[in-house]
Amino acid sequence: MALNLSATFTLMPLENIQEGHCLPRIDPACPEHLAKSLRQHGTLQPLLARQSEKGPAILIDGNRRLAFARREKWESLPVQLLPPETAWLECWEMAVELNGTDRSLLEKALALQGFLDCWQRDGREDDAEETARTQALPRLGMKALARNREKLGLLLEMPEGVQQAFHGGLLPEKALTVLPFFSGEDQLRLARAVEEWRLSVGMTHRFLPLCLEIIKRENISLEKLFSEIETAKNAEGRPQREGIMAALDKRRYPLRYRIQQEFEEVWDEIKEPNLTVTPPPEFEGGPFQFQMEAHNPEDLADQLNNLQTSLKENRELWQRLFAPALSPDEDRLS
Amino acid sequence: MKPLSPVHTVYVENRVAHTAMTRRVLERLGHGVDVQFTDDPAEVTARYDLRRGAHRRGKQALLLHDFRGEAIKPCPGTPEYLCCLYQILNFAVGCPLDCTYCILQDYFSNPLLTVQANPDAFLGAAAEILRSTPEQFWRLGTGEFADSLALEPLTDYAPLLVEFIRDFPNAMLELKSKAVHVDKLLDLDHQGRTVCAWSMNWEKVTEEEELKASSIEERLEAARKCEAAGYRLAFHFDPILPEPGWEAGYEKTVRRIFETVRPESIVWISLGCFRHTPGLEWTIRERFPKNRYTYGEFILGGDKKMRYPQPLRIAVYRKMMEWIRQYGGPGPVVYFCMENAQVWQAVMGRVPKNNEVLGKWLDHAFLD
Repeated sequence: MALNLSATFTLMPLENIQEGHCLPRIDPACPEHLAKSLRQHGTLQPLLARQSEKGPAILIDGNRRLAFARREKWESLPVQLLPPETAWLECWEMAVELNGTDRSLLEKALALQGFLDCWQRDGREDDAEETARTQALPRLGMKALARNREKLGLLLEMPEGVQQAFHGGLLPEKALTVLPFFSGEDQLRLARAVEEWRLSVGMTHRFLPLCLEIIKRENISLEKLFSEIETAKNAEGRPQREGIMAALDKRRYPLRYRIQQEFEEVWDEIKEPNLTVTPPPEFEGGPFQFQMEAHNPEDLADQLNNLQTSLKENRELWQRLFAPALSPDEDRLS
Repeated sequence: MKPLSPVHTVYVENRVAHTAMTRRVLERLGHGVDVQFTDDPAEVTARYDLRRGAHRRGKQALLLHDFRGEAIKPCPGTPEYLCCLYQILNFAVGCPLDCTYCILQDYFSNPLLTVQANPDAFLGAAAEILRSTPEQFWRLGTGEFADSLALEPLTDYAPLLVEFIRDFPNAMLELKSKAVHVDKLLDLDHQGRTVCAWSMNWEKVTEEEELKASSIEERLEAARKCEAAGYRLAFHFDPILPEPGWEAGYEKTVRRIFETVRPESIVWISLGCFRHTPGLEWTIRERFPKNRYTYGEFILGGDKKMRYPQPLRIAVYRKMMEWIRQYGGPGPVVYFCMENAQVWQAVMGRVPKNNEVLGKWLDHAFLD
């Protein structure tokens, strides 16, 4: 459903326009590229506002253009005025058009909240959220947002510091799936950790669920876990971020870690030159793959002879190489 | 038996408004249930979009629809693991029992309970398939996309199926359930072509994760009644959840099975450790925040499902086999649901060459 922008508009004095709530900007300052365009061409599109019975029109779209106009002491702006009773729909439609690239998750959450408030205030349905979810949002092509409605709502309940981390792009959208499982205090702790340890988006995607799963499984506090991460990082002497992730991985997947370790230890003992081995992914099911390097037939024959000798002389070691995938070692499993 | 999740809404496709099945369901539900008629069942299912947490609402809504789709379809196995080639007699989809680990939460796009309310057309289509393939043996079941007995108080579907399958020498039916509504099966002339099966677990899992299912002892009592009525039995340990205390728990369940029924009555026992799609764990965590088992150690298997690491699965299966042989002797056929050749070899000492061979093993377990 596209908004009909060819509808008539009026030049409206700035004092008759009030900043709106449906599409708020966290930072309403006008970006330079927009300021340049406004100076050069003026407003190419009318602002969108909703009529109110008394007082100024309430802005739906155009907060940054209005801020620029006020700063530059313009007198008026072109405004398309919508009747009050349809305001919710159009304001949301603008959200549809604008939510793609230049709005942060927090702004989307606030826009969504504004939409729901509009709906409820207008007394359209008893169950405003349900109707919005099942009817209004999908009808407007907002299926993804409809699906994420609850998560965006949860974002507004998070501590301000966490909200700002989302707004600044420090926390990726996927974090909304995991963070609600933590207390507000822990959410802040995690946001700070992501910032301090300068985790990339990819690392953050792994980091948050790892933390959740470890503290849930082991029934420890996030604070304690973080203190252990520091220790592990120092002891291993790895670069900070990789060290953190390795320490968490080791703790989250102890059995997998021990299987890999056993395999590597045995292979170190076998030490067959020019031969590389790749175990099946996750030591699950498939065959181990061996790759041999040779420069000529004689070289290959020599190596095959050596390999045969090794298989005979170190039979036990070779058997142990395959064992990690099969051996149900009680001690290891405990 | 814990009370069945009450059905609050029934949607009836107009084409089946007057079938005996529809009349029976509406009569048994009585007053106080919202009944809506529709020409378009797809529109109804669209209202229960799973992605927005319609699970609970969906399990309280029942859609009675005309026969459409496939009467028989293969169980959705994956090529990376050995599958028994079980075929689904597709009488219903969805389950009211609400087990926390249920794969259907992530497998279907809606949780609505749907039932083929025109059994004549549905079973007619199934009969056509069975008659047209006399050379093929069909191992059919109704417990994959639904619970075979959970809706029996409303539908009485199982007796129809038992009496249907007895006329086909090239087929058998397995009713697989966590419910115990078997009384109407006991006096039927089943001709030995139906196997009554229960999904089993240890008590802690049954109490904490199988929220509306019958207890283990209730299931065993139902199995005992069916055995007395001449049915053969099967038990499925799937999903096995090796959480703290699992050894004593599963040993007790295995022991209780063989204290309650004779090993000779058991046609097969299947084993399968918990596995899940990556998306399911988040659904479980959201819907059941107290759960612990999704925080266990899992690896991504070849079929892109999360599984316990192979050595852990082998250890668990070896224990299960030890108890089954200890209490049940060498008789009962035991197989894995969706396991790889290494696990088969390490636990059973033999590997079915492929899915067809595994299928044949089970066919023979029934026929011999």
